[in-house]
Amino acid sequence: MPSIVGRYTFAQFGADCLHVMREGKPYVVTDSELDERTAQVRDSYRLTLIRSVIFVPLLKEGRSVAAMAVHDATPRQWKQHEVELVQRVAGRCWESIERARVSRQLHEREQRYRFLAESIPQMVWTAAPDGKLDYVNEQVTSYFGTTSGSVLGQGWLEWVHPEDRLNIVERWKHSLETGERYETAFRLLRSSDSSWRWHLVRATAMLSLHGETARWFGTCTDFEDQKQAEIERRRTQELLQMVIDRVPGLVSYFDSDLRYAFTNSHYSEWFGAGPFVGRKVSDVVGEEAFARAWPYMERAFAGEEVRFEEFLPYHSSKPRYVQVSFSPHRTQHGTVNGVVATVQDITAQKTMEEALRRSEERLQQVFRQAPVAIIVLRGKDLVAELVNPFYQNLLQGRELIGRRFADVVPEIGSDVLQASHHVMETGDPYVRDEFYIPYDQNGDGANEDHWFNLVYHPLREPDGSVSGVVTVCNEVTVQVRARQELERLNRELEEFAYVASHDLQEPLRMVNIYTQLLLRRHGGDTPQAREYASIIHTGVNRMEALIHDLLTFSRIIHSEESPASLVDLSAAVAEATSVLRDRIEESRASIAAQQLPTVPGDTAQIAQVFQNLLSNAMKYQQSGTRPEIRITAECDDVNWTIAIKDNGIGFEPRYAERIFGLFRRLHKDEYPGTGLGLAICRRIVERHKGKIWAESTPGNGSTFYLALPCRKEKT
Amino acid sequence: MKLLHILVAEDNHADVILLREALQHHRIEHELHVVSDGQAALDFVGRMGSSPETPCPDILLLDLNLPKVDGPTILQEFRNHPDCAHTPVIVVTSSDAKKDRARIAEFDRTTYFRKPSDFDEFMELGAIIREAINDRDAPASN
Repeated sequence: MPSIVGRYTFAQFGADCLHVMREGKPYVVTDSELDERTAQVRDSYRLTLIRSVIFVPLLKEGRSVAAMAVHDATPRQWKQHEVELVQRVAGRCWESIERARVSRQLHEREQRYRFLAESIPQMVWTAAPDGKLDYVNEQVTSYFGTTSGSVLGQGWLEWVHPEDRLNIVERWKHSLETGERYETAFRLLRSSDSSWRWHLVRATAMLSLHGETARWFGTCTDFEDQKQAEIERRRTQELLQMVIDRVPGLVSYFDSDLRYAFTNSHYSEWFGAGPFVGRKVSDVVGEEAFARAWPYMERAFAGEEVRFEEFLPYHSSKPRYVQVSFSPHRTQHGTVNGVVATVQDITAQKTMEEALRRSEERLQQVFRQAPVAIIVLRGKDLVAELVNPFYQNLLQGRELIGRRFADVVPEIGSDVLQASHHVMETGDPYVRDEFYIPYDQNGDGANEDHWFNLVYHPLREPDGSVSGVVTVCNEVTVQVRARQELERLNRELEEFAYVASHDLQEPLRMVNIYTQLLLRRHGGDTPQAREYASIIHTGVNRMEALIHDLLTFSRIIHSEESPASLVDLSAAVAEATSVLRDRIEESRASIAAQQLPTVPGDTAQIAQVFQNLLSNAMKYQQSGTRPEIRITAECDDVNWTIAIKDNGIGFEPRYAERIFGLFRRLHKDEYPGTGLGLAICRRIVERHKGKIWAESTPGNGSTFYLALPCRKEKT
Repeated sequence: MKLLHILVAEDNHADVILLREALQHHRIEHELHVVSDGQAALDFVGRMGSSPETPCPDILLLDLNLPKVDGPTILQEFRNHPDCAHTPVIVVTSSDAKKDRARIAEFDRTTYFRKPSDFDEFMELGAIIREAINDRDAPASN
């Protein structure tokens, strides 16, 4: 008979077979060939050689989970007790099946847990309520390099780092006493490399039905690698923070709430003490600065890399020019979570740029408005690069920029170009005054005479090479012409003065001599004739004196400026007294001069001054009084002041200035003179960069002062 | 003293009269050869010694400021004449300019006489002429 196992369903033994058994009842067939319930399925009965059968369900917790059948190949009238017997057998059968199944399950579970305990990477152990180990997994023995036999029944204190021992002993004791869960971290010695590794050790008490500790179940988890990683991570973070703190300027990260998630140390330098993390950007920088930066932030949050320069009026820091970059921080999905900001203070740079710009503007202005002509010529060909309006005026109507200078002014002399080339070649500046440069300035096709004061200055590149020439020139044609004219006039005047000294005096000499001759030969010697002759003689003398003084005056006016030599004032006084010797003797004047200094000047001219002053002092004398003249000198840092004091008739103070004018005489008849003496003195003193003035009260004498510079002025 | 031939280069006739007065005053026998401008003086110098009218003079009285040709040029030409290299010359001038005195000082046996405004002083010119002639005739002492 073929086995029916796995080949037939309950339905193949009757449509209601399963239904009946599910109700916990037996399904009994007496003769399958006759039973109506099997009419549809007789083939199954025939094929299995079953003619009669008792099906009883195997129940588990009231549910049918399997069935048991007893069958016969022949029809059989089953007895009630037979059915009950099968039912009882089925019940016993199920119990033993169940027991075997449970036992097998327990064994499998035990196997599974052991396998689990052996296969997980942690150390797993159990311990008796007193703490003695009664199970350790392989990880324990292999970690400590020992056998389970030598571990079990004792603790593992000897493998704990000495520093950690005390702590864990206390804790373990506490847990053993109270049954509290034990959790602590300590270092355990790994035998393979003798290294101490941190472990998280956990132990939980398994309680008995009575609530007492039945056993401790524990694990040791090696977290040395995580700890090292954490240390490494922290070190990296510190390094990163340090690096970012060393970055000049601010570095920060703020999230989409506009709160800082990171700031570098410069934040506290700018905005005072931190911390800044968690604070709103607008609180830290101030609303005004934030408002200016906001449009850029918006763009960064939209995903754009933004760079900008702005003047930001921070509220808790000084306002600064800053250069900012906002970099969006994207997630994997492309949304922007936050922004990395770097901020550089470029205030100093901006200020310098601004100063440079202003300075350049000023230079430009100077260049444009300078009252001298400036041209910048570039390269060996001397191409005009820059020209100021003053220069353009010199070459009206000619295009200069970008053209060779020689092409612009083809009529210009080769000496002018040579000078520029010389500067280009040698790098030495070239200065020349009154450079004669004839060219056609007015555009009439003919050259005119022009003179220029010129400075050619080399333009140097950073490497020192000369790349061009700056020419600064000043047209001095008018001045040169005027000076030439003046020189001509001076020559003529000298000529005149010479001729005058000869030709004006000649007629007077004739008048004088022939008056004498006339009187001697033809006039007779009468008192009246002598009187007339005397009048003629006085007139002639006065005319001679006038001519003499006028010539002196004109010679001083036209003599060279700034006398170059030194004058010993004592010697000058001596020269004057020597010339005046006759008059001094005649008037019995006493002249007392202290030792006088030496100053820059012309001895002959200064002697003339003393001569005129002494002569006046003797001339303007009260009748019958002997002239007494004292000459003293005083020095300050700048001038020697010489005082010539007399005891003469003096003058009203209001005339103190007038007396130095040409032909300004206070006395016409009683004191003869030309009215030129003091004017000559003033002219000479002024030529010496000095001053002359007088003080007096009528009847009390006069004092004339000369102030002469101690040192020659540098010019 | 024998008759002196005196060459006078002088444009001012009044001074020539005074010169004659001075010569008479000092009783110097003389014959004046007067030229009144620079060119005439140069002409005379050019013909000196070639005829009785233009003898080599015993002394030259020379005004510095002559028309046409100036005194120093004439003096140079005069000195260049072989017979007149050492002939006394008296420069008679109204100029007291230093540069004139300096130019004259370059010439040997040349005296500077500034024309005075006083008659008596002018008469001294006669004494100066006599002295110059005496010096010429005296044995060279230098």
